[in-house]
Amino acid sequence: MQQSETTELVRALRQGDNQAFNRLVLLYQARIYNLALGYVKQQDEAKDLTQDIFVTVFRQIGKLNDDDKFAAWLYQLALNHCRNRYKKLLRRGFFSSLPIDDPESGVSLSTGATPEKDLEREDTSRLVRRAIASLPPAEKEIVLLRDMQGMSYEEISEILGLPMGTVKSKLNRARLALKNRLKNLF
Amino acid sequence: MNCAEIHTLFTDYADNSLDRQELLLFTGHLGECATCAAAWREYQTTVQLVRGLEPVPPPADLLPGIQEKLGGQGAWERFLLLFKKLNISLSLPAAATAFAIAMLAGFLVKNSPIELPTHQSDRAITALRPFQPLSRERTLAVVHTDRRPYHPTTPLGYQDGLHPATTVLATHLAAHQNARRLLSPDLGVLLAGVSEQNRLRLLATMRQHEWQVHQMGQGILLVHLPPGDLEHFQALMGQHRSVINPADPNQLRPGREKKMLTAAIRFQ
Repeated sequence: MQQSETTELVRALRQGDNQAFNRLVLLYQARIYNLALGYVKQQDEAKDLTQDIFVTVFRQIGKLNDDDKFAAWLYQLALNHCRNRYKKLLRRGFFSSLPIDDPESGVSLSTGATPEKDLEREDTSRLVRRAIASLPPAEKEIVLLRDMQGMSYEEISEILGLPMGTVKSKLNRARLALKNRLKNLF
Repeated sequence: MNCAEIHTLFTDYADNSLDRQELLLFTGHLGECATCAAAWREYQTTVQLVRGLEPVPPPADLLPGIQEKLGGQGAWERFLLLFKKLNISLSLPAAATAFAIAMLAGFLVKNSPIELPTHQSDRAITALRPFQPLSRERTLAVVHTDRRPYHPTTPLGYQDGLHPATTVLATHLAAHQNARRLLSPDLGVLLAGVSEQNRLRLLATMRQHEWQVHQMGQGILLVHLPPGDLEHFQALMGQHRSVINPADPNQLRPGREKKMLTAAIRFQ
């Protein structure tokens, strides 16, 4: 994704160009949707959450100080939404009501050579997603941003407002926790 | 370097960000410690598994849903947008104060009668509209002597010989007019033939007793007085051509252990 393209679209959106907003949604929707899915685990909730995030983007674009920082601002806003929704769902007992073998967990895998392999990969993927979802929010966010969104330490540091050393140590802790949760797969 | 310290370096090793000395210590430890070597392999596999998760494609109706949510702004959102467009800046304390004032104003309006009572000054009394004098042929009679049980629509009024129709002295307005408090007098008094000067004297006496006097329009006054002053009140009214309802204080509405009594006075 070209940074300059994003900046141009943000400027156009500020001037009331709704088409620019639609383009921005299309550019970022997959990343934000997967971030939301990593948080709330359920596809309908993730969709609703993603929509709310972009609605807020549209309404609060005036608060963005630097157009070049749109991505970081978007992720900050998205994480705030995710945290709030996560707490709300937690209070309602939403996560405890999800089935253990959750078909709604949003698993999407590339096709394997055989149906058996597909099934095996799907099971593994589901376990990995569940293990990520079970991490404490602060660690989960770093795993989602680093390993699933492919962000640099600098970007994560800017989004979370943490020093890079803290980001690295939290990532290490989160991965070690994941390793222990996934021991049965090794 | 012990095993715990080695584990803290896994991420740096995976990122290839260890310096030369750390790298030598790290790899040297892994070569000697089978447990840490196994832990490192598991760590690598974990990272591969997480990074191997394929992104889930977003639902096709994501964007239309966003547009729908944006189109269906509620009243509150529209108000906020209008507020923003007007570029009104309020600090939090100022906003809180404005809100408190608005709530207080709403409360006062809700709990006030339609005609706000006004404490009469002598000057205001002199500006009162002159009343029609009562002719000598007319005799006064109180219509409703028994006010128990008290009904909200029962008028407190009088008839005279020439006009048998009841003239309302003080009626109970409907509840929605929020006038229950002021229009539920314990006593009704009709005063006839009181000159302007005598009216001023009467009011001055009431003020000396520190009774609260409110003008309710149409020549009606409401007077709040302590029950202990009832005799004084009756004596004061007795100095004029008056009818008091009920004449006997024992006939006041039951359960009247009030701190204040309310008397409605109509000048005729």
